[in-house]
Amino acid sequence: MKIIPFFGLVAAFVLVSICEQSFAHSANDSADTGMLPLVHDSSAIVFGKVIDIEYKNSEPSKEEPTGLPHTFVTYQIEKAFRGKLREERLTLRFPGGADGAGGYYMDTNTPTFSRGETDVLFVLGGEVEGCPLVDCVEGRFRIYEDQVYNAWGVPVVEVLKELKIGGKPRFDLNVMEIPRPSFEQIMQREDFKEIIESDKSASGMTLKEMREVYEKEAPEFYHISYGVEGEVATPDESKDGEVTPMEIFGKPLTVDAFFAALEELAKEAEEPRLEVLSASSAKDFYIAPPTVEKLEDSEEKAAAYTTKATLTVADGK
Amino acid sequence: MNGIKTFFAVVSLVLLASPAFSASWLECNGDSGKKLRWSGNSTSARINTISFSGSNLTAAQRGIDMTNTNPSPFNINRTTETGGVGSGNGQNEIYAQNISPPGVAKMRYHCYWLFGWHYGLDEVDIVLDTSISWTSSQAKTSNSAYTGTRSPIDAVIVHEAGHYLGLMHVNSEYNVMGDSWRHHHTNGSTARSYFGEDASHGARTLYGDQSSSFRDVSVSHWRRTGSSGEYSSHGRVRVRNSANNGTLAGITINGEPGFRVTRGTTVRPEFTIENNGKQSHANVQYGIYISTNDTISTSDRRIGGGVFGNIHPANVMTTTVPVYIPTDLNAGQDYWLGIILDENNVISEVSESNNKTYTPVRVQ
Repeated sequence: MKIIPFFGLVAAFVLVSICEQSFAHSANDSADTGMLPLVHDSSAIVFGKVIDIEYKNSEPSKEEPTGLPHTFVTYQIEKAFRGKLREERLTLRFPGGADGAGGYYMDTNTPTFSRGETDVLFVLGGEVEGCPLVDCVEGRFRIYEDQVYNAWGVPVVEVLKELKIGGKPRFDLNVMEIPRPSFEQIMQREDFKEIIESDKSASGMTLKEMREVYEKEAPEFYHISYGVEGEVATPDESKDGEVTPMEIFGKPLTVDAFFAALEELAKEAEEPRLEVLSASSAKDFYIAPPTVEKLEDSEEKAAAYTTKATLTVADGK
Repeated sequence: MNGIKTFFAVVSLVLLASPAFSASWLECNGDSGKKLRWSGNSTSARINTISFSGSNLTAAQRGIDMTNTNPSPFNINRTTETGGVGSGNGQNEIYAQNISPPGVAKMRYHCYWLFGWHYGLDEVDIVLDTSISWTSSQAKTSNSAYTGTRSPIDAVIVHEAGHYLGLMHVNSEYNVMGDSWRHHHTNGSTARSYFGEDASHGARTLYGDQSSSFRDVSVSHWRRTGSSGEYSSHGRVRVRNSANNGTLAGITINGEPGFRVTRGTTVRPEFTIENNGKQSHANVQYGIYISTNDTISTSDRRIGGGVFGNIHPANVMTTTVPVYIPTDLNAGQDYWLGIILDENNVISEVSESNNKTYTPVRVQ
């Protein structure tokens, strides 16, 4: 497909405009009750800033011999829309995070964090073993440049009448920040010896020299981010062009509009029954390994029931 | 006036060329050259037989096989295991547990500097939620996306296996890393989940192209309708009017969404065309058929057709095609408006069973 050069600039402008629009679509099956269920299930709704992140493994078990990496995220709470907190700082523990030796664990439905991020969180109360947010990743809303996104960086455009989240994602908001492991920690890696022996510059060094190079060369923080690809060099061709999605989104909500909605929703909900508890990385913790369960095939169950019923009738005869 | 026409012509051209984010993955230290993927081109995944047995095991295996049907060289070797499971035990495991989402991938990877960068996937476990009402069947009568009430096991396995390869969610294309519940190849009574063009493109981005020829074009009666958070949302394709500026009146036919079409008029049914392979295909012939049932075949009556100029393997195309509704069809009767892609069987494909699908219509 050739575009007339004279119109290149115009085309580029229009392309940007169209791209913005083409990502702005609402879900056909998104929840239609707004954020109220999230509000009801939360013990606190807070706005705060990530000021500290620590990673720690759970106690090892036979099934999970290195334990399960967890993230302890500390927020400076600036506003509470619902619930009461004992302190202005709240630490939450999430499954997933760094293992301290360059390895990471991630659930695909659990958020990741960097310092300085500002969020609205729908927090569960009481003792929580797993993710401390309502519906885990769905209970985190990112505040960025006066606009509201979900935990994955997707624009939040409506929260009262219905929960509308969609449109072009800000993948740049999905960054996990991890402090560099200490040299002692990196030495614990099973592949340490192999890497050192295979690297010509490192193989003749003493451990002290290696440490010096490591601390000089390795970044103080590592970042795990999202990569995306979208440019299509050769578009599909039919005489009729491609169909565009039916639902069009507006811009993300502003912070003021989002906060006003939260205040309104919080008034509608009953007082939370459970208190939000702050987690502490100072304490060791144990997470039970997964319990394997049988997946039931509903049709097999139904068929078995029918067979059983038939047999019962036959037995009765 | 001519200037305005030219401007809109350019707008149209740009609209056709508008890109869509079509794959996402994780990167080490924010570097696109450090994509988190497996270091080799195969790993083993152990399906836990306490969780999956009988037809459920078959469905889980089928989900892995569907994922492997992509043009990258990467392959998941499926085996079975029994006993306990865990993350960080060096085994990629597929099992079921009472969890909150229908499925989740638990990913282990590494990213660190030690005399150079070291990065990649180490272990991925796939977990399905036991509280969902599942089906191992591919029958439409079981599938909640059709006339059933249950969720197909293979559909969520394919989605989670996409994570297994290193792919993340996509909300801007019709794709299995979005709404995998509504991502099927359907003809007759069977609806098959599949990996699809968009995820295949992502797999190629991570692992490159396999050396052997891998050609596959396909057609679906599902399309992207928008996005639901980080997931694309999907719905059934429509039948548009001849000017393509309105959708025909809807009607439910045999429990599926259909449309009222008028004899002696031209209508434009939509279909989603995919190239699941690694190379473009030019001048792909298609035929439009009218059938008295939902199984489309060349035995049905051909009422139209044409050629797709180019089908590229990185941009899912939902489009409309014009067709004239014959005047001799019975008014008040239900028909199935079908398409057969690669109608003249020119492309030697890895699957020839995904080239036909339908939309129900009631003729008036």
